[in-house]
Amino acid sequence: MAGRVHVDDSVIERRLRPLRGTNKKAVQEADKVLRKQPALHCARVLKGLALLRLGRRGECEALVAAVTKDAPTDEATLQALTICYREMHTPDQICRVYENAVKGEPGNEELLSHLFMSYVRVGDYKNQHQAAMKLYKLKPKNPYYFWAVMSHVMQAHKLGDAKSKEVCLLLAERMVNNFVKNGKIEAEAEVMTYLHILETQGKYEEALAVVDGPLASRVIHQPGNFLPLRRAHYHTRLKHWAQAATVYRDLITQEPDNWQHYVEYIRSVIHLTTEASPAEDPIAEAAEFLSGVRRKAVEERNKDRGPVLGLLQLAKALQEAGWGGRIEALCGDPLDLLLSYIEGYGDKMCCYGDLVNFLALVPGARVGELLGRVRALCRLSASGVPLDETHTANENPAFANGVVKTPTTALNTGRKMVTRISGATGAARGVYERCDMKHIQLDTLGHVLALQALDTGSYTTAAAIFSNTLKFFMANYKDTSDPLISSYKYGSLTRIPEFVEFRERLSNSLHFATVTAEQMLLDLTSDVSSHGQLVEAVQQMDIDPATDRTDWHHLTDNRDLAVMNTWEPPHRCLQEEDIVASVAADTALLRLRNLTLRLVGAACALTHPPHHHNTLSSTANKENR
Amino acid sequence: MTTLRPFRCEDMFHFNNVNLDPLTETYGLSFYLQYLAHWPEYFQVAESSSGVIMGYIMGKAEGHGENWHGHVTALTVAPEYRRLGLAKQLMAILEDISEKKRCYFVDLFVRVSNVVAITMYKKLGYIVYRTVLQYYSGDPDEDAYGGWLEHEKLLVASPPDCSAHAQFPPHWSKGVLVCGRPDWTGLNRSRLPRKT
Ligand SMILES: CC(C)(COP(=O)(O)OP(=O)(O)OC[C@H]1O[C@@H](n2cnc3c(N)ncnc32)[C@H](O)[C@@H]1OP(=O)(O)O)[C@@H](O)C(=O)NCCC(=O)NCCS
Repeated sequence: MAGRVHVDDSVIERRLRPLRGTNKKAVQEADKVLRKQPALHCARVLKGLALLRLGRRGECEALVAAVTKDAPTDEATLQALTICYREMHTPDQICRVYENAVKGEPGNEELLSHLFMSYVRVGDYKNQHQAAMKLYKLKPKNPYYFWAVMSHVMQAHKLGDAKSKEVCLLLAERMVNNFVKNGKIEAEAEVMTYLHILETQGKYEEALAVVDGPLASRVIHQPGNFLPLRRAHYHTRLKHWAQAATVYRDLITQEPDNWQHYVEYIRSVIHLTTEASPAEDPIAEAAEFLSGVRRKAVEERNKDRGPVLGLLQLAKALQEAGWGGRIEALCGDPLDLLLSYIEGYGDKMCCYGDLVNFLALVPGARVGELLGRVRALCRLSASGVPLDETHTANENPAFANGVVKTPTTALNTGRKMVTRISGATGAARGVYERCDMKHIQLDTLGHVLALQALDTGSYTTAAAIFSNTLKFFMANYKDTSDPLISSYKYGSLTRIPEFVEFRERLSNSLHFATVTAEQMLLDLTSDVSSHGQLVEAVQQMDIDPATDRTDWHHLTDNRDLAVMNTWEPPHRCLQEEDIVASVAADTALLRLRNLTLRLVGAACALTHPPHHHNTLSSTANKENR
Repeated sequence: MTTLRPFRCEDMFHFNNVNLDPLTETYGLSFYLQYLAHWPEYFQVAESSSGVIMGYIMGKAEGHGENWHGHVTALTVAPEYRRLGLAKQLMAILEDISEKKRCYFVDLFVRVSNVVAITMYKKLGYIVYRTVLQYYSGDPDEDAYGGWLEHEKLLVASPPDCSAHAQFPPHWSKGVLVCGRPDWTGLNRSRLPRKT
């Protein structure tokens, strides 16, 4: 599933040309229609849309505002208005359009559901709730009722203080309870929503009753482990260690390679031990069980790594709990366990990652022994070069050479290497482009080459990256709105809070804020050559010298810093403190850049009275907040 | 050590070690989110014990009548974690869910040049039943749904015996035919807001 190669500007320009032509033509066609039928709403809006796309926003605004005032109710006009307001980045206007339409036809289900969705787009949960209830009264369908339930949940999600949150969640729970009592629950989505509400409130007893009760039979399309995992999770939260251990144990039997089951199983067993009566020894039982799982896997010679590592996890847990003395008797010699894993997986890249957390089980005095035994596992040439079945010592260098030159390997490594290149911006840009970084990578990997290009004076590179980056962030709002609407339509209601959090994390990105400031400074330093131009540029940027609109407390660091494997000793790896310090430094730099911008803004305001001008970027920014 | 679990939005912040592979496409946000909204159970991820994303699968259920089937949209495993059976396990989840949804078969598209993937699908019991000239024929500017180079030959694979509708593999249930998400009942779809 290869990426499309990078499209240069001339291609984009060529593609846009006919489109511009089409818009011009659309205006002419609309005028023709309007000459015959001057009041035709849809034609007026379509003309407005074409004008907007031609960059004549003011004329468009006047046209659509006039139509909106007439409160149209026909689908074509409403859809055109929706598109128009979305392109103008004023989704709240869509709510007004449908509010008026619904006033005209209060019994129209379709209009009401459009109204509901328009509130979803702007996150107006109170009105969402009311629209959903009106829909349910009009047509008593379960999804409408659950749209209303979910509106309460989202209201809780939005509210800051604990008390109001609690009230909203209680309201949601009560609505569902009502439905349960009357036997009206029908779909999996409804049960999932119920569980979500109970979990958010920490009501695990109630949630347990749901997964153990008749409603569980509605959950039919989830992976096989869904219900047992929920059940085990609730038991854990309720500190029912014995029950939790039983469920996880069954899960290990069914899915011996799913690691989460081992971690949780062993955690519950350790907890259980502190509470067990002297007659029982849950740890010994667990060790026996895990040995059995391991034996079975070895006999079957399958690829599962979980069974081989289970006993090591138990040994690690014992050591952490201060029961290191029991390891040898229960799990065997950790060295043997490590080696039996290495025998099977020593030639795989996963080996290091799988074992690194267990290396502490080997006492310092035995490290030499471990290394000696690992060495004995490898076939070495006389000069100490590892051999394998397919290559002799002499063939190895040639093979390695071939691998490096294979386009795929080279590209793959090159992609990761870009993170290491600094200074050589030209070369870095080449690699960067081949990496085909786009969409969310502009945020998560943007730190590898955006500001660096600026620092080395590669302004065209910087400008190109900034522009792509800002385009991505500006579209975030729209890109996440449609899926939100789909979640309501398709019943993936429990995903809604997740989508909203994701959207917020993106719009609070520190990288977004930084690139926005840098882009403005770049524009001011590169595009401006007279005082008049400066004043105009500052006005367009909508800089407010008095206030900084950055939400400093919520800025998020979205960098992906784990793209490359590292085999450095722990003290040479990236530490949490380093990350915290770099975020602090970047935040301080952003403050400085924002202050600089405000100073320039203030200087301009002293010479010219401020005149507010809403540019596309500044409104889109507000929408994203 | 691998944990298999449903994909979450936040996984997108650190799936680069998988997506930087040249055969794996990074799509626009709405593409991933629409899959999570429509077919959340079909989007599963394999995660290592230290929280590294090792691979993931995205899929959907679609088609009408006898053509109601599961579809693999993307399957990818980071180079470090290949040949450990991860793709096989991810496919098993997708097949299990397809069976629960009473799908008749599972299909997918793969580039003719992607020998590794074709070998794997064959090993998993899929057969190549059609070669299409151009899988991707939509608006070339619609990046989100693109990714395939145009004019490249693609193979369509599916489990054996699915090409002829008469012969379904015996273990695939043949109950009621349902179109759309069968569990989400009660809505008159035609009356729902259309995507604008
Ligand atoms: C194709 C891909 C998903 C396979 O992932 P994987 O986790 O390594 O696959 P598995 O370990 O589950 O392999 C299952 C079987 O497929 C076959 N197989 C997989 N990779 C193979 C290879 N490189 N050579 C030969 N056979 C291979 C083997 O028979 C294997 O079983 P075995 O190891 O017991 O012999 C992975 O190579 C990948 O991500 N490629 C890039 C993205 C891509 O091409 N995706 C497919 C597009 S639809």
